[in-house]
Amino acid sequence: MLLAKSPFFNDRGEFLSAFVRHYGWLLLAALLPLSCSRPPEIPNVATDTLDPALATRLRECRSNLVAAPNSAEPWGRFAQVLNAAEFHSDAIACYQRAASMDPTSPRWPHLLGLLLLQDQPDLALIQMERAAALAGSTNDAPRLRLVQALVERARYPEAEREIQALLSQRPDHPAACLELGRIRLAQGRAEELATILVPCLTNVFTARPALLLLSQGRAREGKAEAAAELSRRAASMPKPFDWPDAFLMEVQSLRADRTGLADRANALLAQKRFSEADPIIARLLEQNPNDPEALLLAGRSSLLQRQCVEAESRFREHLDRQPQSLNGLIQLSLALLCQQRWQDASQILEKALTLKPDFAQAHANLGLAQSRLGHGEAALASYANAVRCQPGDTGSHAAMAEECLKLGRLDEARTHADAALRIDPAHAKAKAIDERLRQRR
Amino acid sequence: MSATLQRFMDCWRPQIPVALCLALMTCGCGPSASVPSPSATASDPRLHGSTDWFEDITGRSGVQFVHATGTNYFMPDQIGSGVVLFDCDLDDRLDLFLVQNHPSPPQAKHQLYRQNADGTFRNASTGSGLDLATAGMGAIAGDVNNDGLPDLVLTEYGGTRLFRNQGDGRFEEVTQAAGIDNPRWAAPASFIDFDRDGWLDLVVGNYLDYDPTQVCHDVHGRQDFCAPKVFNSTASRIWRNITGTPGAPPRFEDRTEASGLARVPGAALGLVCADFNGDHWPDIFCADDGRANRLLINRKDGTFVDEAAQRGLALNAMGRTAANMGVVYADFDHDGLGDLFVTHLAEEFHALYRQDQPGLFTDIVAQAGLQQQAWRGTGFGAVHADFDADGHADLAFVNGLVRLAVPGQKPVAAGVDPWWGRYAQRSQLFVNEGGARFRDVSPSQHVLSSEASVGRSLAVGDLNRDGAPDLVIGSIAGPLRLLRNVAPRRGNWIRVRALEPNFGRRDAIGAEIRVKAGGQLRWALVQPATSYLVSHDPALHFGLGSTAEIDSVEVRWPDGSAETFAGRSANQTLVLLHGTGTPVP
Repeated sequence: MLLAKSPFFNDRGEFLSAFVRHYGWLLLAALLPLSCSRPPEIPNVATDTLDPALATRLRECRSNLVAAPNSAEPWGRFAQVLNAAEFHSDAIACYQRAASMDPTSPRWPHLLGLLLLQDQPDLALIQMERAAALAGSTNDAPRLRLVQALVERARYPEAEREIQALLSQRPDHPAACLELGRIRLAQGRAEELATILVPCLTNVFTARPALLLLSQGRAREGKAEAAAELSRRAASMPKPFDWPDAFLMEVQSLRADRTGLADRANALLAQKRFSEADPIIARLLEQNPNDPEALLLAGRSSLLQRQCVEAESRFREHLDRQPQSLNGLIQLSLALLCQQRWQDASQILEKALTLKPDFAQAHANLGLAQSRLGHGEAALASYANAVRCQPGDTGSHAAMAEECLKLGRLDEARTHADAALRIDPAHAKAKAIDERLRQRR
Repeated sequence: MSATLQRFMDCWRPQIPVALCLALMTCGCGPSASVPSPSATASDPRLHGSTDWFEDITGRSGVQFVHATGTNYFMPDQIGSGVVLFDCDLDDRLDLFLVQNHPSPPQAKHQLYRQNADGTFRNASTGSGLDLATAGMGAIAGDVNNDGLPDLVLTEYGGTRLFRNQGDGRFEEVTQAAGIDNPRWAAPASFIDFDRDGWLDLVVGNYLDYDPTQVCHDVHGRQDFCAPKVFNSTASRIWRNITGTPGAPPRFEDRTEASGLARVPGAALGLVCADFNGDHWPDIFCADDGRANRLLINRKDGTFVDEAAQRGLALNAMGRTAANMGVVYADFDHDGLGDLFVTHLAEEFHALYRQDQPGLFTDIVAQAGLQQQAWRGTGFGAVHADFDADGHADLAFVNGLVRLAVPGQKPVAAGVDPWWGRYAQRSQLFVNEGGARFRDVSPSQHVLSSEASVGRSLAVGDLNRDGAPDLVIGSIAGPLRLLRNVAPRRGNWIRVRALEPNFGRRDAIGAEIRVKAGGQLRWALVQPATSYLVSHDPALHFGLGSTAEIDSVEVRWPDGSAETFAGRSANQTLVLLHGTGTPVP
């Protein structure tokens, strides 16, 4: 039928959506002269409460735009900062201007599409299609994000077309294969996953999600054990992160404000990447030597690098500014434990526990300090509190076993050692205590 | 440095957050009894022609409850508090237990409202034993000592309490004596008979390892609530009921470690205890805020193992974690299997996990039409009910923001604290057009949806026993609302209560009911503790459309056995007693 072949109907018969998608270019072309004839005013957003670095960046970009309002680049760059500062409607207006002024750049329609996606998905998809077409083979991110947007909306035939475009450029494109796998699972074709997902399993961006898809596929094939094993493998891998998107990273990198920097430093410290974290912390302290968060980060970095005295100093500076900081108190206690100053650590931990009585880690650390001070019963009570707050804390169970062993209370030691080993049969300390208990018998 | 010290240092993973990214005991004296409804049709003639499905009856109900909480970005204030619909005095009328969250002066106490014969409510808080001022979160009702009286569990920031129903409108706190001890920030709770011994066990979902001294700001430098990702996960807890003797003081033993729950911490806001894999043993689903959800499969030996990932419930359709909050477990597509709906942030899509085959789920939120919304809200409490009794379960949920970066909606409802009004959003109603295809009718729902509040709890129950499910909405720092179902052109219905005569005639929590009528199968679960921090009417309501008679009812009882009961005419309440039906081989 002619109607059925009409481009206005897609596979799900969604007339309006298909119309907009097929003729959106024409609509845009028709609207373009209008937008050109009445250029939008340059947004002037309030920067008073913004982080100083981000505010400065906004002012700079706005000045650049005021100086060259007929050029796409300053509109786009200003849009990016507005985007980073979460002035979304202003960012959208500026991206639109940049995209209309430079119809050859995929950057602006891509970023515009991502911003529009939540509230105006049909318009967003038009922009994202445009970006994908403009990016061609030089940058796969725009087309991949288009694929993901289509998959998320269960518009599988359209998504598959875009996936094929990615695979034609790179037959083993891991992210494209991952999305194809997601479509096949949703279509009930789980048996195809093992083949489709092969390229994903060796790629750092796609391995974990691919394992999770495979796990679901195996479960649907009735292979419960295989599914469970794949699920365990996935869980053991680092948390997933997104396929690189250079344009989006430009926006994210603009978050060089205090909060953005501190977040980044904290993430690096968690990975013990001190050489990268320390310059960021130094920069934060340079911006504001009294910044309590920066002082906490500095202390944390020192502590993780076993510079316990330096760490103590930083944490005390932090606490001078935020005396009720629970995080500061627990970190200070760690710096003191690190120096084997058990009594000092105990005092700090007790203060932390008045602020947060269910602070399992503080109870456990207090147990350690009490133990080192020779206060066996007090240590046992603290460990018991730790377990009360955090059932399954094998370390505290093992510590209780050890403490009971020291006190000659073998039956209790056995009980706690058994509890630790029930939870974690491989727990080294619990196994050692178990062995010692066997020898004592 | 000693290895021990090293362990402690490694265990403490400081999250240094500086950014916010962003609830009737019907007198069925025979083996099974049917109770005629006081009124089979309830549409108010004055409302014919109206598009509204609900009428706000709060003002004339006698319920005057305004939720109280702080205004200082203390994260537990943001969670909201629960509502329990239960027949506390066995008079066949639903009563209300309403939770407060303001323990510091001026204190706000939890309230008990008992329903009068005329359908209004009277405040029965004073002397009830429930009128405490604590940092209340959720609450559930269930008979823990099989004496036929529904008891109460209250979760709090920093505790969990058990109240034994003394049968005269008074409750006695028996937390300590019963062996319930949970110092953590507890949110959802649910009863589950995980060992199928006929005694209700208790699961409490703990939320975050919160640091009350942590201050968070958004990118604009404004102080705001911290995001859940800033804090560590905690273990949910499970207690086995060891009361043993009907009517005896309740006693529980903590099985958190032995069950394996301690090994899989999370940040629970939603909880559903049901048989998720078709083996007739109850499992536990935890909707975890900002984390992968947990599906704790019952291994029939007192232990559980998390299988959410391989069963398709851990992540959303795009393989991503989301801010999982309210939960609904219902059969939206009439295939006899429960489907799971989970509410998410305004910036995310909600999830509708269809159970394709026993134990395996696929997020079909896009295919279900739930992405086409008149507005996007941060959803919390959510319920399914066939409000228009056309035979298809509809979906309602309440919204309220958690961060200022997303602008609140207006107009803000009267009585909402202005500080909190910034987080207000409008509630939503989606009509099931069949086959789990939904259509957003919120814009036409003036009573439900025209004014914004900081919606949190949403409970469903037939308050006036007219055969139509009504709603109770709780919002942060705002008045509680009672919405009577006045949906025009409602179809036929059947209301079912499944009771355990050998266990005090209590509700058979965990029972699955299959109603065959008009060539269609309808499935529902007796589990009042779903949605968000609430406990619904334990009776189940089935819309029948034009079908005037049901063919049969099958009950899969919590002990795994199944019985069928003969068909009846529509528009009445069936009371099904375990052991009085025809056993299913």
